[in-house]
Amino acid sequence: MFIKIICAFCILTFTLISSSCGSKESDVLNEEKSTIVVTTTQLKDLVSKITKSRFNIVSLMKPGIDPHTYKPTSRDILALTKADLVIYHGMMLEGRLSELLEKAEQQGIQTYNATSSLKSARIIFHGDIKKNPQPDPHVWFDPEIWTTVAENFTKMICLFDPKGKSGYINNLLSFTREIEEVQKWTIKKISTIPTNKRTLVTSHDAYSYFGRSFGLEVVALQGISTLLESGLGDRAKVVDLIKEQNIPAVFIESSVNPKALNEIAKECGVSVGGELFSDALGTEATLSVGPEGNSYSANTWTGMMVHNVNTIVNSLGK
Amino acid sequence: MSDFFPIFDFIDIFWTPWSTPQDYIWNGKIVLMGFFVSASCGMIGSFIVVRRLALMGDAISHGILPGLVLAFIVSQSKALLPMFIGACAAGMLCNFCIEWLNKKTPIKLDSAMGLTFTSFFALGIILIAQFANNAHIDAECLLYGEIGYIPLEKHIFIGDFHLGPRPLVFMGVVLISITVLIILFYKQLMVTSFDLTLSVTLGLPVKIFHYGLMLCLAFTIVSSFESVGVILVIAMIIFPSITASFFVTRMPNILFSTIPLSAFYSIGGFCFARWFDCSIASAMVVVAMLCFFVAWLVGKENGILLNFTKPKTFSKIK
Amino acid sequence: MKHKSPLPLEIHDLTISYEDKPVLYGIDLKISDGVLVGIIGPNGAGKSTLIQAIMGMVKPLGGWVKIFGQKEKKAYLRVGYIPQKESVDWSFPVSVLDVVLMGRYGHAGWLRRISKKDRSIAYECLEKVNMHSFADRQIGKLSGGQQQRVFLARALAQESDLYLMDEPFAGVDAVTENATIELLRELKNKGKTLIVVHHDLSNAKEYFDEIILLNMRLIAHGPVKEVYTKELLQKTYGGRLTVFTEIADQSTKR
Repeated sequence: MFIKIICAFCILTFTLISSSCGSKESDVLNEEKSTIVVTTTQLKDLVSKITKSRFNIVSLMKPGIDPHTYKPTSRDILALTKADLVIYHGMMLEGRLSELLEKAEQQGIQTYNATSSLKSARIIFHGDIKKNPQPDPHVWFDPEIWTTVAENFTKMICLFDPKGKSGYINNLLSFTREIEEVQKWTIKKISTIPTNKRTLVTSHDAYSYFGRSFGLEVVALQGISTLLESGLGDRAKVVDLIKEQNIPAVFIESSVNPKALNEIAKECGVSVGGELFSDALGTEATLSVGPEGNSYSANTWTGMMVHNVNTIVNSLGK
Repeated sequence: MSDFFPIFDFIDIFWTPWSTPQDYIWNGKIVLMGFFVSASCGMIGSFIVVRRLALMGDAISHGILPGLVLAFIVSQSKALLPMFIGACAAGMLCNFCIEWLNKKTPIKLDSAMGLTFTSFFALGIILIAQFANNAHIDAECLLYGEIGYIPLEKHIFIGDFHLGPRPLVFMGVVLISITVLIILFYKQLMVTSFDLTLSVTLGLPVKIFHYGLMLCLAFTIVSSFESVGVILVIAMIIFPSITASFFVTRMPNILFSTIPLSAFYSIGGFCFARWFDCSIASAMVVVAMLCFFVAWLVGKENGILLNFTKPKTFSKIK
Repeated sequence: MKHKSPLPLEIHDLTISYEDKPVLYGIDLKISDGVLVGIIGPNGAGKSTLIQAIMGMVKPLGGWVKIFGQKEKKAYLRVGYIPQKESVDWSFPVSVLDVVLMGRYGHAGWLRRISKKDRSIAYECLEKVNMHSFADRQIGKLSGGQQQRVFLARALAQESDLYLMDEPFAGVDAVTENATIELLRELKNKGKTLIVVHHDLSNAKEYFDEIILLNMRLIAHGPVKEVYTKELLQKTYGGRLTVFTEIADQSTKR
């Protein structure tokens, strides 16, 4: 009896530790500014690039958190209530939270779906295309779509806060210029990989847009959501493909459990090319050398792209 | 250890969530939901526990998965009614299977439960993989609904009168119905739980009461899981009555005790979640566990401190 | 022998088996009003099964049971039952008074609450078995004899006409045993019929009017004088224990 209770206590304690760490930093909010709550790290980067310091920006998800399985803490929920504007990614990236935020206007919360006005012609659909098409939410890997998202956001924020309009437009211009630069740089880097080796094997299906934009074939162990376990069939297919095409490396993701992919790498005798950022950006401390020899930290979109491209090119371009 | 315990900021924990009317309404809904769920589960649970079926909650809550998936496949929507019917039907079917295995085969009750609910759960997983790959009714959302999102749920209006979020209103109705049913059928529930032979003598339909109770249990679980998660539900079926039984020894008193206990779990859990900045539902379970621990120490019936010198005369709860 | 009113208990050709193991074969019994009957037999003779079959708790392979001339469940309302101690969940959150009140549930309607009259009857019954001072105690916190008396009080509160008792004297102190047998006789004198499963041969002769000797089959049934004989007892217990025959000898001599 006693031992059982002690065991239960330990388990609960560990649950607590694991759920409470990573959110220690206290977001000191400036009372005079309005507060924008964003759901994902990509949006945090985008919003802060365009609005600079006109708002308090609070990100619900922290670096390395998988948005598909994100669970809010008590403070996240408080942040939602305090927000003057909630910006979410939509396309079910945030799972149930996306669903709820779509209807949150009714509860007096002003929300903005960052991907709502994208043209469906440019979106990749998965699943049963005719009956129940599921949009692939990982649009930030397509520089052009991400530019559109930034432009749409700027339109909205100009209406939300007309006073900052000129600043926003300037910021947008420099942000799109940066995206363009990265895009050109990426194309150049990818071209160094031999054509027959341009296959990207990853844990979950996040890189369709990346592959489309830069001419890589994309193979993933799991579907677009990380929620579903990969079946044995999926696994066998991936293994066969690696052997058939003689793929030199596979890539794990920062926000997905790498176990299954590590095993596959071992089984096929290929190396793990490194860790890519997929659904969450990295931390400030992770630096990568990008266009014109500058260092970019992985907590920005630019840094994330640069890091991913470098990792991919280093492993596949050998 | 100082890393483990965040700073205990009294004002931040106890005052900030209630400081503005908006916060008050928002957080009030969360706490109220916690209370409704704990009280409903606790009252039903009191009868479930004395019938030695404590794990039935676990069994049913996992067993409903195939029902959810089938309801989704048949209706091609996640509308509430088909989901609800599917879940309740699967829950009852699970229950019948357990009964059948227990009565008609030499398998013991606990093994029968384990066999049945794992099979049902696995069946559900396979059904998801086969037919509903992108349905967003995955094992994850079943096991970890989020109580913090309650205020974001769709609100119900009667005419112009604002009633509250749908799950909250619904759970309130469930709590009232359960209370009324228990008051009406208290005698019969007691006799059928305590003495089967006497119930037969009295001409009570023992089976109907058993399945009625199980239906209530399934109903309660289904109405709570989608919004608060299964962990909270299973815990609340067992914790209140077990904790109360350290202080009171009569069924009516145990039933009454679930009310203040549930209120305490809910409010305490909310504060605890703010202190540790963790998920609110798990915090409520931790508070319930701490209450149990205290009760076990100082309870006047079989508590270890007060009864330290007495010989152990109690019949152990098997 | 003809009766104006139907017999309290009539069993015809009752056969019961658990899975493939037969427990009772072709039992034929007729028990009349106002007698105190003991069921005696070795372990595994099917004594408890017989009681359970009468209560309709186990389904017979063949034969039937009539209670006051009825096969329907309605008749069970006139039956009071004292369960075997092992079959009760003593940790159940009920007090002594709660248990006795359960005996009154048959008299209250489906949705009616327990009335004051029911309460006072329950109290009286507790007084009869001298347990009224324990009314609020949880049933697990009583001694074995006290627990037995609570269930006796419950049976009294049922105000039945036929009482079935499964080993009421097992693990009970002498005081309780004497009080119980007194009470049983009192009930019998009021015209009630009582059937008691009993395991102690030494005092069976003093306690009962009629005895049923059972060992999977009905060995004998009749007034104590006719049935409590060496041959029949030996037939019941087989050659297994001579101790029993000695006891029988002793008690016949007494």
